[in-house]
Amino acid sequence: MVSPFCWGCLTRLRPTPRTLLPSPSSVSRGPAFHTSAVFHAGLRPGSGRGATAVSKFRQPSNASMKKRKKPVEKSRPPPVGERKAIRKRIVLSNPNALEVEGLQELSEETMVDSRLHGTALALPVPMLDQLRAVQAFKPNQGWSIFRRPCTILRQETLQLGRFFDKVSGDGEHKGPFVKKKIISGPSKSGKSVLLLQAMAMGFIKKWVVFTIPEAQELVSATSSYAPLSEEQPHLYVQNEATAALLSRTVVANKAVLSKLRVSQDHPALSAVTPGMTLEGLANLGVQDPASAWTVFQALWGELTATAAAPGLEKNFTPRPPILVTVDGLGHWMTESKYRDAEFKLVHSHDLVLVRHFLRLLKPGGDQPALPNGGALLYATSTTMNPPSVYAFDLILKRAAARAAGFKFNDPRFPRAEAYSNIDPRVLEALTSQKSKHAQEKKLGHQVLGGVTHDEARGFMEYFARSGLLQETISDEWVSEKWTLAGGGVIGELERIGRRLRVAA
Amino acid sequence: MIVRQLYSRQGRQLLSVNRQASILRRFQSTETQTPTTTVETAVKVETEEPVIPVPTESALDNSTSSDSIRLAATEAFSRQRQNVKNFKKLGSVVRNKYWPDALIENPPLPSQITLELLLANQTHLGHSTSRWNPSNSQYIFGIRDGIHIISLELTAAYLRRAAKVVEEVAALGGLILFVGTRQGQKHAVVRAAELTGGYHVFDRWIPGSLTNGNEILGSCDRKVVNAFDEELPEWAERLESRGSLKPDLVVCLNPLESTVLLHECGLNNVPTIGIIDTDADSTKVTYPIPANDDSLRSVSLIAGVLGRAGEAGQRRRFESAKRGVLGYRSVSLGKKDVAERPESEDAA
Amino acid sequence: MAWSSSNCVVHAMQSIRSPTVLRALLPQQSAARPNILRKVSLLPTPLQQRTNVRNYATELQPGEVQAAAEIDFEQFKARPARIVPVSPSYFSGIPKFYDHLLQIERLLAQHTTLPTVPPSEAPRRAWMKIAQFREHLGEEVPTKKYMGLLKVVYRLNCIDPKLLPAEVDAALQEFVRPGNPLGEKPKPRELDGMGRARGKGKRKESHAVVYLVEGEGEVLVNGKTLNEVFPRVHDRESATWALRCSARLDKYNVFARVKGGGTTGQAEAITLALARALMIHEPGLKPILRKAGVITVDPRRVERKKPGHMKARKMPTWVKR
Repeated sequence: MVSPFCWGCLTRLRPTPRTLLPSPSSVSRGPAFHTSAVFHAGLRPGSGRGATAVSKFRQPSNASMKKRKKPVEKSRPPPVGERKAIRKRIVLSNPNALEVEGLQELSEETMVDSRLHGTALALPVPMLDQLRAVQAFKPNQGWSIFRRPCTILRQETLQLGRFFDKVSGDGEHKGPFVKKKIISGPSKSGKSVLLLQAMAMGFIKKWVVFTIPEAQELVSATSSYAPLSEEQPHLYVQNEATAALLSRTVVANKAVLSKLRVSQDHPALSAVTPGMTLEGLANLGVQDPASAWTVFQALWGELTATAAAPGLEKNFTPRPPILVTVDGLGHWMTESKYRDAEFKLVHSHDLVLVRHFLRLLKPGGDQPALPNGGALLYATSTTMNPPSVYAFDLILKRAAARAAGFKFNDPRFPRAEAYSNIDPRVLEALTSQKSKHAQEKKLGHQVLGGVTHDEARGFMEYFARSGLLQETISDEWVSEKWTLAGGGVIGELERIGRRLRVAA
Repeated sequence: MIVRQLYSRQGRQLLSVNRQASILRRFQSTETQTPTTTVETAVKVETEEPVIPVPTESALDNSTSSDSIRLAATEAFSRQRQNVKNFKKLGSVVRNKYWPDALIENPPLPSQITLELLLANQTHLGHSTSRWNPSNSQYIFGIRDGIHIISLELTAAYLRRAAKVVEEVAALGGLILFVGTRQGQKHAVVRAAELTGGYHVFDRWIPGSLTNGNEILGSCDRKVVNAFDEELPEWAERLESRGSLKPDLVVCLNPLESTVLLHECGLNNVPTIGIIDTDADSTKVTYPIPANDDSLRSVSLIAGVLGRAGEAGQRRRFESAKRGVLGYRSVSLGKKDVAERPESEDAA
Repeated sequence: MAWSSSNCVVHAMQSIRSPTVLRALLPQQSAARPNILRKVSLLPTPLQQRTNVRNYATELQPGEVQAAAEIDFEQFKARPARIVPVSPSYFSGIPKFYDHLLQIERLLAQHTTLPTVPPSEAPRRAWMKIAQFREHLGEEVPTKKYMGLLKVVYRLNCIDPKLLPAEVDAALQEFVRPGNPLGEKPKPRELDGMGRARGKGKRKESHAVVYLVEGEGEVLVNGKTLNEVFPRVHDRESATWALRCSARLDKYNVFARVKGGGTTGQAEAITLALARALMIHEPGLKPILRKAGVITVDPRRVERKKPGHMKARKMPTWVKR
């Protein structure tokens, strides 16, 4: 038999391009003969496992074809920042709500008047700008459903008002008293509003008000930071945040600061002139954030001065008391989100601003924290998902135990658990020692709970008088709402009142 | 469930219903009406509550007031019954009505068996010819409308023979078991067993009741009786060592379904009487009765006749016992029992 | 053959036999020798034998032979004749059950024309559970058969209680659970030594225990305030609905422990427990609470998922190929 090939053809054969040949793996998968099916299966695009994929029993194989595609949104998203602006917008007036007749304003007289206990007091209209400047209002506090912002004069407010009266009043007990207090409590119990009331009283009494409205913002790594100096590389300064603080303080306390003049030497600040007002001093920091921390230190030094530096006596006037409020203290009790050069987390207490305000809180320092008197009100917060810090919780428990009358030696006094990983810096920062100064008291702790029945009644009556409730307010009705609000938690009461309005 | 939850589910319907207004009112921010009972009034209500005699179950027994209520109710009921009875006589009179229970409650005697009676009770109707069992050829009279007709003379003869068997077994103190497990045969089976003084199974024959009787019937109570069927408790302890009882005669009303029973009877040498329809195997039973086994009337008639026969046998046994004659071999229960009587001629 | 033909021999034999016969009869007459166990003496056999014997009057001395003794039926009665089953249902395997069934069916047939009351008005009796009934009879009664029996029992129980015959009542008592839990009212619960009322409630998967004391309307659930446990106001209202609908919200303090389930279940479990505890304080509130629906137990539970279904009832989409 003659071979069908001719040698000429064979010699002219070219090697097949490698891409057309089956890959070695696909060939070796099947048996050595009858490889054509395997070959084709390997070549077929998209068949990952060859022809072995059999439809499963009762599996809806083509059900997915019926799936409808989601309609594509054609409208454009709002411009950058608009959503946040809407979210953060604070509306303080509802023109549809009734004007409450006979509403009293918060003033020097009304804030200590115990006859007004449990009634709603309006915030003075001129003060609203100041309060807005210090960001005292929060968007979720329900200011937008009433005609004008009002707060309930509750027992804690009255106590606070009496303290303000004592510090800057005319009575014989006048003196540079200092109140240091951590305010805690369940969520919606009115901690932030209590701070707001304190600020309003501070503005009424012409105090200088420093506020940190969101303590979290200082530690959440959302603003710039830098090492303080080469000598102290572990400390960090936040210039923008400090400038913002100065700006808030200047706008809110313009009336007070513009009357005070620089009375100390400030070698670090070349721009300071001797006759400058403190407002001008603070504005230096606002205009130049790089020097904000220095300016803040200078301002603080001016405000806490009890006497003028030599040569500057003519500029010295007695400094007013200072109110410092911090909302969300819990965020400061752990490591911040900032990183150091070695990419380790920076502890919150290494940020100079935080360190400054926490050092004020600690009693028993060499110098009084506020020589001219004042109040340090630091509130915890539950709304912003605060970190749970064991050391801080322990401190609060101990403060509560101390308030309940337990001595340190008492077995019921709270102790740290043996194997708890407790943060020594937090313990050290807040442990209350015996105060060396007569005007200073120990670090106080106030647990804000629900309002009493009378206060709840006043609150609900304010709702009714604003036209939000069409109920006749009776004691039974109020006590029912009081129970539903978890024992008079004021935020819940507000929610219930608002809910009834919607349902009506 | 809290009632107000209805609101969210069926709000539209409830809105139209006025009586639910109190529930709805709480969803409006107006004053809700709340029941204003106070603690004091609640206590008062308890004390002021008049005592109403409620005829409770416990009060029925010993309180005089409930007795009087009961008496009055009984009187009223009997008066009403009397009225019904009086008025029933008025109007048309229904005669010669068929009373289904009559055949069961008062069955005919074996001597009263007539072909008319059998015919009237449908005993002659066999099955479709295609379902014929050839062993029955001798009993079949003919074919009509595609079904076999059973010869009534033979039925009567076999029925009389079976009645004789039942009577003799009853007279000799045998245990007669009536089995009819078909739907509706219960009444007839129980009645026949009652007449015969025998035993009945109307629900399900538990397989192995004869072949594995000690397991299945071991826990069921037995007793020792004398010739008058009076219990002798002093012999009771001797029973424990003895096995379970077996029937001396089994009357099966549905041999077609009772194959297991008939098989067990065959294994244990227990004679059987069965109603053999044209589709049944007549060799499965000892004494066949060719008849229709699908008609309840036919079955009731046959069971009744056999029951009457058994009744007669029992009567004979008691009469002989009264004469002091034990017509059968007595049971031997150990050494107290002396020599057996040679007199029992044909004990079962 | 020589024997039979010889008369004198026959006569001689007769004369020999007659004394033996008499001798055999003698022991029966002597009262001094009681032989009660000898069955022979009871039976009429000697009489029959004697009838076969041909006697000659001349051979018998008058006065020597006396009439046979009377049949002693007492002995006859004491003699065991047969072993029979106690019950006619012996061969069914569960004779006691069938005896009960036949008895109450007979009663029903007998009293079927008596007037009845609706089942809701029939006297409440706690019937035996199947396990109890089995233990009571000592027989393995199938559940289905017992249910069939109970149907007849229910029907008999519906006979107007004022006309219920005594025999039916006695027969029904056979099936009542020992102690008759429904018949006697449970002891009313009371406050404990510290003035607390305790109530339990269940709903869905949640269990709640409520301690109710007089107070000002404070509510603690698992040591937390109401708003912490129930973020929804609706749930808070549910939980306190018993107090709300009876206007007692400001008169009691509530301490509740609740576990299991979700928020709705927990809230409504507290509702039930609270209402029960409130009824201990003030039993007079029961109609109000009943009307408000807070002491009605909701027995619904999540329906189980079935094989072949995607949820309890949902089936996968049917695809042709």
